[in-house]
Parts: sequence; C-alpha cells; structure tokens
Amino acid sequence: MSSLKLVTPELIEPVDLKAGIKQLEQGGPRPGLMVDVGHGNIARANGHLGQAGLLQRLMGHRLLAALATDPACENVELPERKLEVDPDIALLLDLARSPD
Amino acid sequence: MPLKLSLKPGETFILNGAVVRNGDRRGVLLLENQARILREKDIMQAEEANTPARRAYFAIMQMYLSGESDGPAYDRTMRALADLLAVTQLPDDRKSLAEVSEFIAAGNLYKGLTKCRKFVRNDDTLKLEAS
Repeated sequence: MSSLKLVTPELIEPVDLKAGIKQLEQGGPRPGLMVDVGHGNIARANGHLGQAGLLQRLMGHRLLAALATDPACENVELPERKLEVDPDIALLLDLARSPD
Repeated sequence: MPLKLSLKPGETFILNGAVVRNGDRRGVLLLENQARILREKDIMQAEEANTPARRAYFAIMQMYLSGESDGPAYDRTMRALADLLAVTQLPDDRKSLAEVSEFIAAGNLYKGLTKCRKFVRNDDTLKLEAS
C-alpha cells in the first residue's frame, strides 16, 4: 500500500546559502527547499526556472556578497555597458509616458 | 489589509503589466490583494538610467514589472549591481548593496527596488551639489 507524505513549508527549516547551493548542485534537493540568504530573507524555487533559477539566484548573490566585502573590488574602473531593455518593458514604459 | 492608493488627476501607474491612468479628477483605489504595482513617481524611463545607480534601479524595476525573478532578467540585474558596487566606496553603502542582492535572491523585488532607490537619491543629491 502506497502512502502520501504531506510536506508543508512550515515543517521545513531554512538552510544557509552554502548548504542550499550544495543541495542544488548535487541534485534532488528536498521538496520545498528554503534558503536563508541573509537577514531572514528566504529564497525558494518559485521563479519561472524553478530549481535552476533558485541556484542561479543563490550563486549570483554569493558572488555579489563576496565582492561587497572584498577591498580589491572597490573603485574599479569598468567600461560602461549598454543598457539592456526588455522589449515588453520598453512597450510598457512607452505607454506610461505622460501624454503631455 | 488593502492598499489604499490616492491618485492625482491624470496620474499613471503600472499594475501587473497594465498601464493605468487616472481620469481628470482625484481618485482613490483600494487594492485588495498583493499585486505588482509601480506608481508614476517610481517609474524610470530608459533614458533616465544614465548612472550606475540608475542602471541598477532600472534593471530591478524591469524584473519587478515583468515578475521574472530569475533567468536573463536576473543576470542583467546582477551585472548592473556589480557595476554599481565597483564605484561604491563607503562600507555601509557596499553592505546596503549586498542587502539589495539578498532581497532579489529571495524574490522580494519591491523591497530590492526600494532599497536601491537610496543610491539613486544619492546620485541626485551629488548632481545638485555639483550644479
């Protein structure tokens, strides 16, 4: 006889950034994985890309947080990047312009 | 608890991907559930994204308006935040930027946008002082 196990978010404790990345990289993380990315901000696989998107966000945040504390990354001259605008957002912004 | 919006005549806002403009009188709207809403004063046009802080704000605003918390939109935002970090010297400001990144990683894009606004205000203050 098969049984269903109910997993509710309340029963799952958030893990830290390092553990979250490790679980996702190893594949098959717990369902409902919650990752505390700092100050009680909890990241979940709730974006369009699911777990791949969560891993992308965790790795991106780890990199930025490391850069923020690295004195070698202060006042670095960078070439100015071209502004990237999503075509759908460009349309929205155009409609939102004042009619005057 | 609903969010109460008091609108000026002709005021525009974006609500879940729709551009909404108030009529020619003052108006009040009650938002009964959570939605992605951005008021006119918080909308930045592409041509206004002309400093690292403004480009970071613009990138987060794009994520918020589209509701995309990962994929190419996230990469764009992280590049913009890294560029802003590169020109940010004060330790407290660098810490604030790491907090912006926390909000974004957690998918709390509105809070990330609000926190990033401080850097845009700093830019505007510097511009005023220079003129």
